Amino acid sequence: MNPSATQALRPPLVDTPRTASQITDDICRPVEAMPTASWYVGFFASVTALCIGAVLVTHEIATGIGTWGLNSTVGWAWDITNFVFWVGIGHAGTLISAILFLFRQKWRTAVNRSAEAMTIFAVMCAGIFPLIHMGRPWLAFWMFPYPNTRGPLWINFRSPLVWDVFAISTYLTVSACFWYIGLLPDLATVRDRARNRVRKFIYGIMSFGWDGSGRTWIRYEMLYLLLAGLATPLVVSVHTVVSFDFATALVPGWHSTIFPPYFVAGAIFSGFAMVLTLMIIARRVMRFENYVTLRHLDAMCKITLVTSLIVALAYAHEAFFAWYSGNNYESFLAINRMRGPFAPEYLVMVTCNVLIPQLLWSKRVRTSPLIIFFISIAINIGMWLERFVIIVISLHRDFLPSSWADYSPTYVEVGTLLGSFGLFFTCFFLFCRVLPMIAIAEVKSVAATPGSGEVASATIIDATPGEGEKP
Amino acid sequence: MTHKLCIASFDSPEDLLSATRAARESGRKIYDTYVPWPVHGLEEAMGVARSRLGVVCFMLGSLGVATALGFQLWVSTRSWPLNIGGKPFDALPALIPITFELMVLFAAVGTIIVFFIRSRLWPGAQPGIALEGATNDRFILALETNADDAEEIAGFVRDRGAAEVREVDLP
Repeated sequence: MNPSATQALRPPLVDTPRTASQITDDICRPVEAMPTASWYVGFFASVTALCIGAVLVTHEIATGIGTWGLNSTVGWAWDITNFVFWVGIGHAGTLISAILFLFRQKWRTAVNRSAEAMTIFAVMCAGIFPLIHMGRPWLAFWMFPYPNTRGPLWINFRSPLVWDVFAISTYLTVSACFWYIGLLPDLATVRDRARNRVRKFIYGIMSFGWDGSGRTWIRYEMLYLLLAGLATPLVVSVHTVVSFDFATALVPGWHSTIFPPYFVAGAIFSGFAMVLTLMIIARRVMRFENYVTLRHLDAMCKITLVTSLIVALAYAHEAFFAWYSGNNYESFLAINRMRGPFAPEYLVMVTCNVLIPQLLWSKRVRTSPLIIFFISIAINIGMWLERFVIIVISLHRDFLPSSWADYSPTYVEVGTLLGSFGLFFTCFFLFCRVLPMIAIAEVKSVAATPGSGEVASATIIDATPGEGEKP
Repeated sequence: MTHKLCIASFDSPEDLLSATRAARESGRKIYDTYVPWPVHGLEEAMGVARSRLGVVCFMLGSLGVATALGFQLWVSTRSWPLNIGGKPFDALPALIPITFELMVLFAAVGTIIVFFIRSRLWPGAQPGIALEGATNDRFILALETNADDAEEIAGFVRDRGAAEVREVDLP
C-alpha cells in the first residue's frame, strides 16, 4: 500500500518517520547498551522490596498464617485482596494483545509486548497469595487431580475454587506462550545484531532458529490469529471464574449475578491503569516517546474511562439492589459499607475509581503524561481498595452478630504486598534489559517508511548524537 | 536437478512481492522468501496454500473438551461420587468452566507445538541459510537454480529490482 495514502487517512503511529532499520536500532538500544543509572536504582529498589517480601513469606510459612491479621470471621482479607488485585492487573496485557488484535487496532503494536510481560508477572504475583494462604504451600499439588492412594479421592470439580486453579494456571500458560510466540521474530533480530558470541549463542537458543522464512511467517500469522481467538474468551473467563469464588457464596455483597461482568470490567480498568503507569515511566526512561506516543496514551485513557464508567454502574447497581431486593442483610451491608468501620476505604475507592477518572473526558488531560500518571496511580489504589471492600466488609459483619469481628493487617501482610510489588518490578526491570520492549516486527509492519539501511544508519547518528553506536 | 539457490535481496516489500509473483508465473521454483515482518499478500504471491493450523487447533480444542468433560464426569459419577448438598453428580453447568479452560489450554499449547514441529523451530535450531538483514530490513527471495539457468535467473531478479544477488548452496 502507498504509505502517503495511509497517512492521509490516519495519523501515523510513530511521531517522526523511521525506516525499518532505524526502528530496529531504536528498540534494540536498551537491550544492547549498558543499563542507565535510573535502571540500577529502580532495579535495586525492586530487589530490596522482593527480599523483604521473601523474608516475611518465609516467616509466615515457618510460623503459620497466625502471623496475619485474619480471624475466624474474616478468613479472607489482605491476601485474597492482593490475589484478585494482581489477577486483575494481568488482564490488560491479553486484552491489548488479543482483543485489540482481533479488532485490528494497530496502535496496540507499540504497547502489546510490555503489556503482555506485565500480565505474566502480575499473574505470577497473584499465584503466590492463594499458595501462601494455604499455610502449607508444599501441599499445593493437592489442588490438582492426580491419582492418589486415598481412594483415589479426587478434588471437587463442582467447586469454584478448583475452577480458579484451572483458570489461573491456564491463563498463565497461554499468556506466556502467546508472549513468547510474539517474541520469536524479535529475538532473532537481536541474535542477528549480536556482536559477541555469548549473546549470539543465548539469543540463538531463545529464537528457535527463526530465519524470517516466508512460509513460516504465513503459518505464524495463522497461529497468532488462532491464539488471539483463544485468548480473547480466555481473558474474559479468568476474572469471571475469580468472581465465581465470591458470587457462588451466600455472603451479602458477594452473592450477586452482576459479579462476572463487574469483575471483568474492573480487571480491565485496573490493568489499563497499570499499563499506563508502566508505559509512562518506560517511554521516558527508555526514550520510546516516538513509539509510545501521546496518541497511544490517549487511546488507553479512553478504554480506562469506559471501564471506569462500567465499574461506576456496578457500584450504583449494588446500592440499588441492596434497597430494591428488600433483603435486610443486603441493605445492612450497603449501609455498613458507606457508614461502617471501613467507610473511609469505601469512600476512597469511589473517589479513585469513579470521580478521578472523569478527568479523562478532557482531551488535554488524556494527552499530558504527568496527569495521566497520577490518575493511573489513583486507579491502582482504588482498585486495590475495591477488592478489599468486597472481601473484608462483607465478611466482618456476617449473619450472626455474636461472630462479628474487625480486621487490621499485620506488618507481615503489608510486607508481603510490598514483596509482591518487588517481584513484579524486578521481573519488569529484567525484561526491559534483556528483551525488546516493543514488538519490532509488528511496529515495522505498521510504521516503517521505505528506505535503505545505509541512509538509515547515517540519519540515526545525526538524530541522536553520541548514543547511536554500539560495540 | 536443483543444486543451488539464487538469493535476491530487495529494498521494499512491494519489489519482493512483484518479483515473487513474476517468478511463480514464469514457472520458476520458489524455495522460500525471507522477510522481517509478515508482508501482506505473500501467501498469494508465493502460491502457498492456506495454513491448516486452524483445523489442528479445532481438533485439539475438541480433544480438550472431551478430556475435561469425560474425566470430570467419570470422577463425579463413577470413580468417587461425592454428595455435596444433594446436588446431582453429573451437574453439567458446574463442569463447564474447567472444560472451557482445558479446551483453550489444549488448543493453544498443542497448536504452538504443531507449529514448531511443522516450521522446524526448536531451542537451539540454526537458521537454514545465514542471510544478512532478513530480520532487519531486507526482503529476500530464494529461487532454486541449477547449473544451466543460474545466469538467467540472476538476470531475472535483477530486472525486477533486486539490489543484491548471490548464489548459495542448498542447505
